[in-house]
Amino acid sequence: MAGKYDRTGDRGLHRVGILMRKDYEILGIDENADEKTIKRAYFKLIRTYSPEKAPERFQEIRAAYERLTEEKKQPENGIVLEFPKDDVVAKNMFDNIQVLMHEMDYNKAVEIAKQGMQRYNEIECFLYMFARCSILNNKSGNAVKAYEKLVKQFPDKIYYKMELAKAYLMRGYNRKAFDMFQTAYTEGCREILFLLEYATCCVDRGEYITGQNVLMNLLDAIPPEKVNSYIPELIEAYDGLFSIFMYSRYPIEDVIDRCTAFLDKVGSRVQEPMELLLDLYAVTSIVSKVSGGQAINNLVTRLGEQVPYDVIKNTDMGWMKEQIETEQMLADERFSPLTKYTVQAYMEYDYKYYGEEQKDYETFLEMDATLWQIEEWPKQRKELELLKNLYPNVYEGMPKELWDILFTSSREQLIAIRNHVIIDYSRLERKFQNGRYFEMYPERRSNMEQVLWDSLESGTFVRENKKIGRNEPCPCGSGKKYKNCCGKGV
Amino acid sequence: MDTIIGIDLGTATTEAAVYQDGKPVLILNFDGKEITPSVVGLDDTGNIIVGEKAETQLLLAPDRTVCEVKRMIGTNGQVELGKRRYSPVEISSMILSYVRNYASNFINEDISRAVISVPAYFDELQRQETLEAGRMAGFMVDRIINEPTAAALSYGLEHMDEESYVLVYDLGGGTFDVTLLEMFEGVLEVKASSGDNKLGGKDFDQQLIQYLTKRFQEQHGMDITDDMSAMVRVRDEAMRCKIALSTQEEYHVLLPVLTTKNQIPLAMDEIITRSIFEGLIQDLVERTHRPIDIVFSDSGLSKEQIDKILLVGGSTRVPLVRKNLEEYLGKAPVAAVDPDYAVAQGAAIQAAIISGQIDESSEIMMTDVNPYTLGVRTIRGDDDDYMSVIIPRNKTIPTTKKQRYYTSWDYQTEAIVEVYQGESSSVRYNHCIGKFTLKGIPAKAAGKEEIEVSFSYNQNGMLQVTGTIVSTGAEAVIDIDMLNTKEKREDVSDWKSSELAGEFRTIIRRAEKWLKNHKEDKNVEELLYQLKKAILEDDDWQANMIEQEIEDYIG
Repeated sequence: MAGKYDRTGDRGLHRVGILMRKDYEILGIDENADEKTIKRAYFKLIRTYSPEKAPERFQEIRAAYERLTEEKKQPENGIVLEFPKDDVVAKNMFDNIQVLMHEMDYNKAVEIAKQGMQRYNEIECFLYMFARCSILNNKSGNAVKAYEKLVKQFPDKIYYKMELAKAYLMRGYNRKAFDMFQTAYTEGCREILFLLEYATCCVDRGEYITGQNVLMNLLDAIPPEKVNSYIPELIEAYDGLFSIFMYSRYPIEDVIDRCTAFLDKVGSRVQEPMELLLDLYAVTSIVSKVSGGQAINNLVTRLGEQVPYDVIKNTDMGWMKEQIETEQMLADERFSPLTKYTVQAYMEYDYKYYGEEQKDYETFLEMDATLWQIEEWPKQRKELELLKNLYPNVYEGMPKELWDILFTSSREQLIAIRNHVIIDYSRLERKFQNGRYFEMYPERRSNMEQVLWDSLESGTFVRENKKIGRNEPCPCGSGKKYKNCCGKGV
Repeated sequence: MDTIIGIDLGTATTEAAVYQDGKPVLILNFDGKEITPSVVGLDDTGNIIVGEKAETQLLLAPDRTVCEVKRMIGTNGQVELGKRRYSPVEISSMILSYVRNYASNFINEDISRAVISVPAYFDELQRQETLEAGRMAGFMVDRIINEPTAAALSYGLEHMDEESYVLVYDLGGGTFDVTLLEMFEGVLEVKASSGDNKLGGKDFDQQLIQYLTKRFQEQHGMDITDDMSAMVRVRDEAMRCKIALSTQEEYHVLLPVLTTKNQIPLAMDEIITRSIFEGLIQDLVERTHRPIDIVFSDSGLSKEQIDKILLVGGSTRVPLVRKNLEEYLGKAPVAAVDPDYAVAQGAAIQAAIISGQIDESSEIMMTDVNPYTLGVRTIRGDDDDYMSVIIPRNKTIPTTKKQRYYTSWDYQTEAIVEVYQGESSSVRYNHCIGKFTLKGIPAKAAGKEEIEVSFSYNQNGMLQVTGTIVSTGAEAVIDIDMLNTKEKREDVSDWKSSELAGEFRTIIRRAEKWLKNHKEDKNVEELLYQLKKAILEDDDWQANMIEQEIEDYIG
């Protein structure tokens, strides 16, 4: 049967069961104690174990108190997990996982969750813990698989669909992520961070109206008395709404009013996430230039007042200029999707990955755009010249080599460059999978092996990736075995 | 047991108190008064005088008298007293040793231990210098306590049984502090504090002085801002005007023969109404809103939850301050504590807690928070100056927090743990308070090795940072005294070995030459050190910046 465990909302750590039980023990109170009792117990204890006399004990008490009061504040967050009935071993394992998670030792936590899954036939509680720890441990592949199982087993629990969508996104399966986001959203998921990510996804795919609706829903999902706890999220939401306006020109008045009211409400607290505020400031100034009107101008002035002069001084204003021009260019109807895609690939920063992977991903996007440009050359020449004239900062901001390649190479040179780039591109494409080039020119994909073969004079076939065994999971991420999926018939 | 006294070393005045017979008692100075002006001077024979005597000669001999030195604590500023120059620390120590003398006399015991209060928003350097001043005066300083906390302690002692949230609004002569506390059956828990260390009653004076001199110029066409003796009188009158306007609707500023023009005496004759004054200081008063917002958001409380607003500091006597605060918070403030004595009394209560005179388990006790965010430098995306927060500001201390990090490069065997304090997400704008290297990480692919960094902050302001390699258990530890984070000087004499040396040789030679004739100038000395450090670190950009600064300085 099921035991109830609490989950703390959206960010960071998962705090549940054992810690809570221990916390009640530390404070010497009953598990049903109300806030007042908790407080009284805490204040009584720290008189004996004061910071002066017993700093170690004080910290323990303090931590327990903080966790419990935090928990009491969000009683609405709770999920019920399937749990082996009256099984001491399972209980211990589950408690252990939570302690390890609290200590941020995710490797070990994953291990125990795995053992639990094996021992109890993939029961929900361990499957869920395995998924959660995998995410925290940056193993999104495992998480995807586990959440897929959970979604299948528990189609009623929207929560799993939401987490699966996030895991897909983390893994880079953008298309799957988008579909899953959509499912969870239609089924009524209104978690704040989820909505933000979904909206970003929508914008990336050009689904502006959906993105706008999602963000408006986000604004409604936050009750007025909680506005202060969601300042960064709200700034991002408004930033998103103004950016979407640049693409779709929907009636923006309501958003302007709401944003102004938001500023009134939070006052200078809006300055805490300064980087986000700067972004919002930048995008609203663009909107005010594009649309004009008293309300938006007032809003921009108000936002400007919250950005201290020395912050503006320290930010690279050239970057602002580039950013503003980029946004304007992306909203300019005179340019084709290809040109916009290229500008996006080179000018916009995509936070999907970290470290080396991030660099690879950026290179991948740039190659993707470049290959597409080469295919469309010289049709593109006119448009790129227009870009140079209308948006000089964008043009200058992009690498000179790109322009050199396109404008000065002969047809033959371009083909040679293309064939050369395709080799690296194919390798990365297998990893990130969301390029546009093969989508537009599927015939190039089949040539790939050929190109690879030809390029090596010795004639020896060299495998770029590790060989995929027939029984290994398919690299496409479907979760099936290779022989049953993409490897069928190979 | 040694007696420990509590001292409120204020910008304008200084008070001391001692805990006797279950309550804090103010210590009388040699003039038989509780309040000692924070003024130091030289008398006609060249002896140092402190307090009232020094204050009386402020007008007569401004060149031999120093006041408001607290505003210079933590800066490289120097004050001239007769023929000698003194640092702000030295002047503060003169006041403190005067306190030590009269307290020893009052208590009839050689007093050598003290708790000294500072504005909550004092930075670490300012705290360190206050500590230094105490030591120079012959005190063993048991604790540096925040002024609003001290004020709340003295309030709390009289309201032990109340359960409430209290906001302490402390607007003094030179600084503004705001602290939010929870009181529960004699326990005072600081929830959050914030402030502005460059906002206070002196800024009100300054506004008034500017207004008066501007009006004078309009009427007589004369700029008196360079006339030292006239300005001393204007300043004095402005202060009197400000105080008068707290109780009356208008004040007549009248300074006959303020100056002369073509041998005709000119007078300053101006009626200042309360509304003129309030118009002048409105913006300043509104600057207190942001720190108030911060304590609310850091503590997670809302304005409606506040039960009491305590006013501390002389500047809270200004009616506009009260009115504005009431409008902003929707609740009338109370001045339940004596703003002049509350801080010294609170410091004495803290002293009694330390000495054991007050039993924390049955009488009053308190918990405090750390004032600044603490973290380490990490790489995030392209940004290698990212401040990864480990202990956020306004966390109840003592506290221990851990965070895990991953290696950034393949075969990385060392990790430098750089500890920063400050509120920016980029460490460049924060203050580095220590670093160490963790060696012996097993060489593996990037991200495969984990390092755990643990911060332990105790109630004496000591921060212990431990770095552990998770897979091997190897550790490195550093202890940082948060009260002593004056940057350690590195040896920069080797700057010539750097490739950049050639580029900056000329400016260094010029600055060194200049320094020979201006020995007392600490600024150029500091800049020169920074420049050499930048050269050694091959930081071209930084070096160029400093070069420009030196250039501006020595012309």
